[in-house]
Amino acid sequence: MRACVVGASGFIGGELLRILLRHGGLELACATSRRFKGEYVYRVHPNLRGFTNLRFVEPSLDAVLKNSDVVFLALPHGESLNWVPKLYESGVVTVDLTADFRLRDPKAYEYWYGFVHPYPDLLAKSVYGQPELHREELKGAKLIASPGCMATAGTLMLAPLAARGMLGSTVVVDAMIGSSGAGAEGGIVDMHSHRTNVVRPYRPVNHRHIAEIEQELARVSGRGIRVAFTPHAVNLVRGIFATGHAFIEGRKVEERDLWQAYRSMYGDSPFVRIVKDRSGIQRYPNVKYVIGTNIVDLGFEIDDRLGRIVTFAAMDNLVRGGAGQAVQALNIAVGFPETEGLMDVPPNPL
Amino acid sequence: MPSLACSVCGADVDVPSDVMDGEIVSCPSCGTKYIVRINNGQMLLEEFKGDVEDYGE
Repeated sequence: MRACVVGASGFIGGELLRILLRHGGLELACATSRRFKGEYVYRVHPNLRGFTNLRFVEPSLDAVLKNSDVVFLALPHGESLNWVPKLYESGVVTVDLTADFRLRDPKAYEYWYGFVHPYPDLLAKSVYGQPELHREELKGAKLIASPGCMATAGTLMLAPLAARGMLGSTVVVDAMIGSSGAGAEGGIVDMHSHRTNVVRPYRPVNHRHIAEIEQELARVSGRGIRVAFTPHAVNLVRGIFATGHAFIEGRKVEERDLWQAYRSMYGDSPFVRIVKDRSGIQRYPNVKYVIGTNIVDLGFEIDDRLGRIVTFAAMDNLVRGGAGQAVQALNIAVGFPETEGLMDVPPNPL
Repeated sequence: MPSLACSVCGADVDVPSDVMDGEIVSCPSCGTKYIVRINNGQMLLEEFKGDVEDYGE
């Protein structure tokens, strides 16, 4: 199958190119960039030098359709609205990495994004591209709404607890994310002198991706769960680490219960590792051991004194929280092995 | 190779077939360490409490 990446000059676009270049079932047919059209992709993504002589092309719908069976949209939020209806109508498989088709409820777009969604019919047809939680729905899907790193980390670490009624009405989530999460464009706060050594919150309340975590936890648990989410910018280039705090007052939870909860949900998931080890160097998840891969490491601990379950998630924000997860969902949708193009062993030391 | 259930996480802890009384084994999943106790041919795992190293800060 031929694949095209629309918006291929960004960080996630570049990671899509890197993964697709060694995918056994997909041929990288085109990469678009309005800004860099005509330029070799390795001039923007230097890590790809020697692996491809592909050049960026103008992002035109006709050219993309002519060259593609599968289209990945790695665009800024809001721009996929201009592409998805026509791609869907054409019959190509579309994996949208923006937030434009992730929320099931059209009204949620008014609250979280401030616009009336123009295609509620397509929202109903899109499948949320979280492979571990939507594996069956993804099979044969034509429109996949692939989630980002914050929603993926928050959802995956809390879903096993949600499914077993171990979350209260509100759960607190803190996340720490590297600078690549801000994208390749950059503003003044992304300058080296402002970004290096930084540890600061951003959008500490009402972050838009809360909507997805709440949507998925409600789906798994069958009830509404509010997520108090605060992300932080930290001194990493890649990686996201999330910590969840679930208060379970009045209920006794044993460590074995949590092992069962996580194993039953992710036991057949090739990219989820449960890390809660009493031996060795790594006792809990650590971004250091997942960078560059599609792996998400999940862990937990019980705070008996406070009646609290603490959960952890570590992953590469650009791969597991972006390009890799999109390819994983596509693999399931079109019948490739779920791991095709994605089975990397993390380097160590990093 | 015989295996016994980890009392902490429930995973199977493989025990070498030629294991001797007092040997240390660890759970492949959660890392809990056990002393293998053999009494009248019966094999039991007793949690080993002596290992307190912590690589964290």
